[in-house]
Amino acid sequence: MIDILKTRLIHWKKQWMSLLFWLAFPTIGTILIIYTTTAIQQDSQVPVGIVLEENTPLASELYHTIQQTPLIRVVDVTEAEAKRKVETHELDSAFIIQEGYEEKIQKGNRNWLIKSYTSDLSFAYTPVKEMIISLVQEDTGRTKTAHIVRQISEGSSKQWSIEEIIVKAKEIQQEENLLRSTFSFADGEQSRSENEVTIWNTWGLWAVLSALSTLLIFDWVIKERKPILFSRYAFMRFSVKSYFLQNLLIYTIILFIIDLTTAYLFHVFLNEELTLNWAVLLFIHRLTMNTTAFLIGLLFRQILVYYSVSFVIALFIAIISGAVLPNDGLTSRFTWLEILNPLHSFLNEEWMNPWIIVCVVLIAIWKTRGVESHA
Amino acid sequence: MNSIKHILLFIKNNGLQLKRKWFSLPLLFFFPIIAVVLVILIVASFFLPNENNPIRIGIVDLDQSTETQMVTQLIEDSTQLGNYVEADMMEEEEAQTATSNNEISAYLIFPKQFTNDLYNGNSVELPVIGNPRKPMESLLIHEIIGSVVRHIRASQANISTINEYAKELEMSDTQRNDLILEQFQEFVLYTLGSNQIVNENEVTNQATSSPIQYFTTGALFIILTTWLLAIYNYLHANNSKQIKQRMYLYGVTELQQIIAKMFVTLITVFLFSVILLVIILESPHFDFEMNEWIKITLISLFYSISLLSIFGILEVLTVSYPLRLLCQSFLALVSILISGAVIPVIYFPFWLQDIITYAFPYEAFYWLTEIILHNRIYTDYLPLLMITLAAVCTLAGVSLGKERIKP
Repeated sequence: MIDILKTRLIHWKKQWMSLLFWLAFPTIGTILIIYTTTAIQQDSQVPVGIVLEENTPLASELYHTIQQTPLIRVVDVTEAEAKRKVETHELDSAFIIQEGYEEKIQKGNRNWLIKSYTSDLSFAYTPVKEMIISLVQEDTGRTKTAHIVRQISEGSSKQWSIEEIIVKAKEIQQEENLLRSTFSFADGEQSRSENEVTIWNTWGLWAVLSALSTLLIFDWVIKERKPILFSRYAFMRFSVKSYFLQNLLIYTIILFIIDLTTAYLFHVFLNEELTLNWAVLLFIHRLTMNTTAFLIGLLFRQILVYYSVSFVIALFIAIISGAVLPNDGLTSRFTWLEILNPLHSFLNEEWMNPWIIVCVVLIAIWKTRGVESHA
Repeated sequence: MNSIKHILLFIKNNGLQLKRKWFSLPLLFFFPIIAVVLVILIVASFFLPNENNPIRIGIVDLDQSTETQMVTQLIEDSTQLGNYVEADMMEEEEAQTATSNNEISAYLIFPKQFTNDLYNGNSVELPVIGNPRKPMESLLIHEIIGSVVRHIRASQANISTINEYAKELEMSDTQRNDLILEQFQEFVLYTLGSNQIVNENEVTNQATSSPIQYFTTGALFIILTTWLLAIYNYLHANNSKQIKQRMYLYGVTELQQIIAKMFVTLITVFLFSVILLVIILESPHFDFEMNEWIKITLISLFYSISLLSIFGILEVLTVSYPLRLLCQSFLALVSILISGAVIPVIYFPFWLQDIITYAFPYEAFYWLTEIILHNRIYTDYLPLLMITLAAVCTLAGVSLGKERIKP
């Protein structure tokens, strides 16, 4: 074993740059991707056209509240412009605060206060509409309240004007901490502030990048099976196959140490959990990845083809695994996809992993079969 | 003259290489298409939820009042997703096990004294607990509950206002409570009817344009980019040092080989595109005049040359093949993302939009959509042409410069 490690170190001496790069790549890549996308996501705004048809206090108040919403970038337009820009998709949608807005609200009439333009490409229309409705609803609701209070105070000695009641309702809404909802995930990731809930699954993203780098690190399986080298293996104390298997063990240990470092870094930078349970899962996952990469490596003789295939495999894992795209919709229809997906049991924290069993069996077959098979 | 001869030689060589391995050409042809179709399937299946398989949420009601039931109803009814959301009442432990068994996507807890606090204007928190294994669905549920909460919050202020005035009017407690309950119901109904506020007008993006066309254009753009990446790298030959030296003595430069590769890639991608378009053109959505075809081809050509030049620059600059593949894949991904083929650029942050508009993928995709979707007659090739020239010149400069430094 020591000898194998020594030969490995001699190999690494020449390739330490690329080895180091690919070892660090999944971790650093994941952290970078998450940080950049979060930054971009936080700055993203939906361009919405607003037309203000009247200049009353209520209407301009609504306009300013919409403007202050962080999710929306308000573009001032005329109605014709709004229609054209929605058609050409320069605006997601447009809302027109119509003439008579304040008057209608004061009368307690709330039908068709706002006119909107959307197209079939208005992806953000529903949330924006919901928000504007709830803002308008605040105004109409207050008027309604005022009318109700006037009703119940009828015949009593105390009387308030509608304006007074509206001011009071506003005060109550501003001063008191009213109903709100909080969000947290059940696995104890305590409620981060709302903006910080990223759509990324950290470990999923890492698993995809790490699948790629594992495949690339395992290029030694091909490099060291070159025909010229085989005459030299004859002079070795070990059989060729046990040489390969011992190297597989060395790589597994090193990669697992890197994985544990990754877990720690994710804990520091991305608030991921750090438990013993997880370490065991990570080990099973590492074993699966390495045995799979080893077997795939045995299939190839040409290093360039192997590299390209590695990228293609990584791409398909990224698409199918649900680590990058949510695949709930697909797996609920085709459950067999879950079995095909090598990341499934890792990402779903299940101990049983069919892949590792298949791989170990295949490697055992490879070991026991005659030397001529892959030599 | 000599270098043109060399380029022609390498083109022939690359052509032969493709011919010899013709059986892998269909693989190269279908691989990006399969990838794109898979992505579309996955995204579509997520956004068109399965009615037989609704998003299930748990409701833990620690308050047990008429009001909490009404709020539950409100959550179920408040979105168009209503049919796809199924809410079940359960105990807290039940909800926890259901979450860990992956049976529900999220659960919501009505805390004790929910109604009382609501009426008296005390602060109330509605915790939503998501299932970490269904993050997208959890966030969706949270959005829905968030908008319901926003509505109730507005009503809550009004109800406590009424409550305050009722107190001042010295109403009896039972009478006041009845009034408040009645008002709460009224406000819930009022909220349900709030869609009347907006008079919706759906404009279609001019007669020709439809999401199908938009997304097809995007998908084709992605497929084009992937083909360029795949075929360019497919032509890569791993020359040993000796052969490289011998070629150098013949006056062969790296640039000549890269240009030959670019040329063969362009021709192959062009042929691939023709085949794919013949299949797609069966559908009635794409119907163009000859001169429109010429415009589309020209723009795609400029885009392809720019992208390939940058691939070439990366090839000159990186030593290791896997690293180069990584850089080129990353570049292709960035180019797809900023082109607007996946997410329209208008949704990006403002500062990013400013930068993106100078990038060639955006420029190319913009004019493609203008021609294909909006039937624009005028096309401004100049910016794209300039970028293409700049990219080619940079490639030449970098490559020749490197050869001069390293003999």
